[in-house]
Amino acid sequence: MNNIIETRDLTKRFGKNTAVQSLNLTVPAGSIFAFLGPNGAGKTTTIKTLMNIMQPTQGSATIFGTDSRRLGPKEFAQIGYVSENQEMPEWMTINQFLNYCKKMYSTWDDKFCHELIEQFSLPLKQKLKSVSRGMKMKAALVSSLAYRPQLLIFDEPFSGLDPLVRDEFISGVLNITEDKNWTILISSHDIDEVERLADWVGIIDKGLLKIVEQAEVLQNRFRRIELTLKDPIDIKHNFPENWYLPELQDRTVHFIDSQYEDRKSEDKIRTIFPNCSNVEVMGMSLREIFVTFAKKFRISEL
Amino acid sequence: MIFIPYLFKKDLLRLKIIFFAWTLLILAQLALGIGGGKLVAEFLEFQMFLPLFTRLIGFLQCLMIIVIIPLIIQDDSLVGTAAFWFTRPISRKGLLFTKSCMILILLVITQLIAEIFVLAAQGATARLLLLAAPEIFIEKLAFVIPFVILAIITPKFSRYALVGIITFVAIVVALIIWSVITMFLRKYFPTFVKHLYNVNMAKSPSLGASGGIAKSIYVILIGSAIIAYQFLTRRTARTIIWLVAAFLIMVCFTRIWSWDFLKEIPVVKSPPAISGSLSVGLDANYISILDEPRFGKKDIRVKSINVKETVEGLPVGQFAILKETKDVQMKYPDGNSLKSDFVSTNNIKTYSNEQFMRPIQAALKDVKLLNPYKEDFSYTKVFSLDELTFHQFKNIKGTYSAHAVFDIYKYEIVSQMPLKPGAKNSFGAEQVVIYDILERANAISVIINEQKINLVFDRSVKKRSLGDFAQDMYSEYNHVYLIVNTKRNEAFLPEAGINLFSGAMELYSPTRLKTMAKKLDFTNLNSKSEPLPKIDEEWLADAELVRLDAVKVGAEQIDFTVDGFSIPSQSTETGKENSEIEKRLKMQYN
Repeated sequence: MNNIIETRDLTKRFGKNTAVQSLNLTVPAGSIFAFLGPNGAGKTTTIKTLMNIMQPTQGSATIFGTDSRRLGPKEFAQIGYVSENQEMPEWMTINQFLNYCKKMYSTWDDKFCHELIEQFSLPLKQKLKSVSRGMKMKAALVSSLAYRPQLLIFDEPFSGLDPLVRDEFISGVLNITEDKNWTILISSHDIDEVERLADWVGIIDKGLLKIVEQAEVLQNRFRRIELTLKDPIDIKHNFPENWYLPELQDRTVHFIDSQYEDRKSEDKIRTIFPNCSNVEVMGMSLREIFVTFAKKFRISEL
Repeated sequence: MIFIPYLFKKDLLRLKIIFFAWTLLILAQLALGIGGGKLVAEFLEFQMFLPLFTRLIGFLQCLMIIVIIPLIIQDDSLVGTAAFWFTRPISRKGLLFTKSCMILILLVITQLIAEIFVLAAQGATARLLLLAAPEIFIEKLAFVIPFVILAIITPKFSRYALVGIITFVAIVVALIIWSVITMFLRKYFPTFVKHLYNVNMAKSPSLGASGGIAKSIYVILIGSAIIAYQFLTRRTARTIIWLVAAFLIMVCFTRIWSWDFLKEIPVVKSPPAISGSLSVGLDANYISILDEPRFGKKDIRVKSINVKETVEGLPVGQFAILKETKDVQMKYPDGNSLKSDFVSTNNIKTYSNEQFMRPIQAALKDVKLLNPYKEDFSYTKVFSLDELTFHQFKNIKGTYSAHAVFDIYKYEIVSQMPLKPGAKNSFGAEQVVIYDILERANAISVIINEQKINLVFDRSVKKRSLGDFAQDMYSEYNHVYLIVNTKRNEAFLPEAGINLFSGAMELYSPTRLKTMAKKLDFTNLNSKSEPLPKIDEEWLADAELVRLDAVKVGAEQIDFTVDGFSIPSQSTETGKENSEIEKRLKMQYN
């Protein structure tokens, strides 16, 4: 099976509001897929629909080839799910909680679980209700990793965590998944953190999926360009469609090239701006690419 | 399914404190039910508190059920998108099974077992216990189901409580609005309104019981289907639609229910040997005028005319109790007449009336009743008049006519037991226990406890409404206790008066089990204070406590007229002070 998750025209409406519209998404096996988007973009709704927490209004989704509406114990035994929104049995101690989860999975690995407990320094005797949010998320992560699921789904796992805990969390996930070739779908609006993990990126905004691409390819084709011109020109008139967010300051032009190719792009720039004296090409982080998209979506709406 | 025991264990662990409290309540129910009677015998004052305690325990049990159900269900909530179990390998069927088992075992079966134990301790036979089990099970389960439904459509306890209160208030408001509407409709469309109510159900306790059981079974079946639907689909909006539809159907069907599947199987009795020459008269020497209770200041003052009726022509050993009087009329020589379609009859009577002595003696056969009562304080209401009409027609002689319906009874011995503390005797659905015998000079007091089990599935016993129970409590002629010396063939009736310590002990279903402590005082004086054989150790050595029950042997209707009858301006009673008569009658009305 090449794709662990597939959606086909997945739509979810709440009354008149459309949270997710005709979403077509594939998450390849073994990938770490960053599902990005601003708050309210439809990430959590998509994940909840995938997990059969909600029913799609239209379209369909499959996980391991099973329709999301038919996901049952057999499929959930292979899925690890950690979400900022998930309620936990707070009256239990962490030890009770892990023991409770252990009973659900035939593949539970005690040794691995103890390694994770040590790695995350979990206070086993404390009740979930009395530990910090970060510790709770770590406990949830351990309970979702210890049975070695084939698919991990993280829904905004870093929300509300302090940077140190966030770093521990990410390092933990990276360490564990490095060798295992697990598939991970991670949704976040905090791109900086996801950048270290993701090899695929999907960007959603207002329920519409804007981009699905390998992170490396995306980062390779996006460049921040800075030109210095000899004479001022009307930049709007001359810009191609794949050049985003053009800005002119004195004789300096900034824009983002979304289809950057070493020679071709520079040739194109020189064709459009024959009087440019200097071209500076800068690589972009995922965060910058995401912000570019966010600004572009906003402008196109206006 | 392998995970089910762990889910069960998890819930038990989480709710251990509240389950401990629940267990204490069940134990308290058992302790009071089994040992309450004994406690009363030891500390008579406790009889006053026993019903209070049992009601308090019943109330607390209901309250606890209402609290425990959401705690069991909502830890793995079916509503919302955040519950932990949604993304774990827990099957919906498994969860349904676990939660159902927990509620069934901990909240329903425990109560069932406790009540069965109490009934067994009160002397219920194996047959009665078998009949009681489904009744209790249905009743408890039907109580639990609505709260389970409320818990599965709400995510948190706070929401559960809020929705519960709102639903309750909405139902009460709807009922009030409905009553106002029907009050208005009754005025203008009386026939239409008649069809809105199941009048037969109110008249027949067995039909009422059948309807009640049918409703409970409906609640259980449809409620279970709704619960299963929500567990398996988690489509809350659709579940609520099903729920509302099911509720409306239930409201409609209770109004049209007519299948009386719990109707008593008539016990074949010897046909009434009525001579056919039954005659009824009113004794003008015993007339009592009473003011009927007024419920509002604007109500017109109404006088009730109560007369001692005489029924003659019955075979020896039988007596008649007036059931209802219809087509009542007073015709006056000047052509005036007073009419009343129906006069409600109060047939609450005590055994200490002369009319019961011959039937009692007949039932005792060769045993001689040593202290028969020679006077009769038994009055029957024959007319109700507003005050103006009363003053207009008082003291005018006329002809009274009415159509009277009587039930005919005779006494039968239903229980005989040695007159010893601790003796007990079970008969039918009843048990009598002698708790104590207090001896005095030529007198004894026997403290007994009557236990009566009234089960809806027991078709050999007439279904009784709450009103029947109240009447039974004060109609002392129904059950007459005597002490009988079997060697001497002598019997004593107890002193007149209701010697109840207090009300009845109710075990959650107000009509299922009644226990009542009675103190029977026997002296060797008769109503004329003439000394009789001594009630001493020697006499008591061969004594038994005998109970006679009035057994209905038939019914009779008769049109009768009384010429020269006049309504007196005040109570006219020969040889008795009016106040005593009126006191008795007032007691009957109360």
